[in-house]
Amino acid sequence: MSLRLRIVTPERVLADTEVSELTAPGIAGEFGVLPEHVTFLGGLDTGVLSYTDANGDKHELVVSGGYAEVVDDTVTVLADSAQPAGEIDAEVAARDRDQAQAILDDPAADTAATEAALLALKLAETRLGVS
Amino acid sequence: MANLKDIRKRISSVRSTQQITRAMKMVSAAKLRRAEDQVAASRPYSEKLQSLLANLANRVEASSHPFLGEGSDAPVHVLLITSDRGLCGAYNTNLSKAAEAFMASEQGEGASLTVCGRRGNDYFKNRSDRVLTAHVNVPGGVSLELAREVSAEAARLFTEGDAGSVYLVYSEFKSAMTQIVRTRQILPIDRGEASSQQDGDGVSAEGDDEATDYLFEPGAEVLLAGLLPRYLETTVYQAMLEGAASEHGARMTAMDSATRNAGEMMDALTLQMNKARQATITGELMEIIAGAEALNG
Repeated sequence: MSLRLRIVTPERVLADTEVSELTAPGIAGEFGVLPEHVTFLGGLDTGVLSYTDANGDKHELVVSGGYAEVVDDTVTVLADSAQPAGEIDAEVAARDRDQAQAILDDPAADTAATEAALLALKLAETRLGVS
Repeated sequence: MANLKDIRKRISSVRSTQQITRAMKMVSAAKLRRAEDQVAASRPYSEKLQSLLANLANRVEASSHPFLGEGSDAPVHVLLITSDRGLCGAYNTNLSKAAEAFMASEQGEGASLTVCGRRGNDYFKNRSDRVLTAHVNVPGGVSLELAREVSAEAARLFTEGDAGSVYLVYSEFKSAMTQIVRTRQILPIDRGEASSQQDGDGVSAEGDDEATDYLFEPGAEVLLAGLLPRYLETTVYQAMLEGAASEHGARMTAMDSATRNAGEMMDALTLQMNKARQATITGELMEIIAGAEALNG
């Protein structure tokens, strides 16, 4: 038994492969998917999505926002952005984190900017965590 | 009759123009291929999003989200997508004219306008004072960030009631030779459209009753509220990508015919030059012969 996993972002298809299990960061907490999972649609938070492919190798990706759908042992992840752990540039992530932190520290920043910075900070820190 | 030197000068100037147009054609061909790849790469996402949306939208009341409502009587807002650079045939003119015609129609009365691309902005700058925002010479060209910004702006106008509905004017990419100008309503989102497109590709997804047994986390309405702005973004993003592909296609075609025209012109000028040369030689010979005849006589 295996699952088919498709990870799709607006810019490209990142993965289309057979996996044995996967763990994703849901809005309502992290969830795992195994074969014969119930038909499911959930929102994704910023976090690490990991899966084990047919060869037993573990893969990690940083996703930010989006949806995961499970139908008939096919998992479709629609992510706003997704980056495999191997592609993460720690320097870029650190710079993003510092930028976001600067906005958060700035008392003059408006609500929208602060919210965006919070998201950016979380994403950068998650990226740093896996790289 | 133009003298030899003038013709030679013109030939060499036509030749250097031809070199430029030929180079531009090559560049456009390469860019076109990349743009086409981008359009193809973004398609799986938008198709999946559309099927999710169709699935969710049928489950909730239309009143649960403003994007699904009826819109209001406020004037429409037009989102026009053109290119920053010219020399691509009638591409930008066609788009700008289509937007202008739409705004002049009964439906588009009092419409406001958002322009992406310098060319479209140049067109409307002196013709209309209804341009609200222009995104001109955006570094990096088409990007998801730009699409997000533009669609968020349109969504804001719509939800705050400044716009009764939002239309997108863009160019659909068919082939390098054909681009079709499309005017399409993007807000409010037409639920019928979302579900009918689902029927086209979603036999497996909707084939049985399983689709009704979704477990939603969090609830369907919360998910839908996040999905609708993303759907809007993706629609705008795809229109921009199609626009970019159309632009390069149009430029390639335009530069191809320019290269050909330059070739024809060079042929015609060469013929003219040869004739002129011949005429000079004949003239000189006549003079020599006449001179010799005069001496003999």
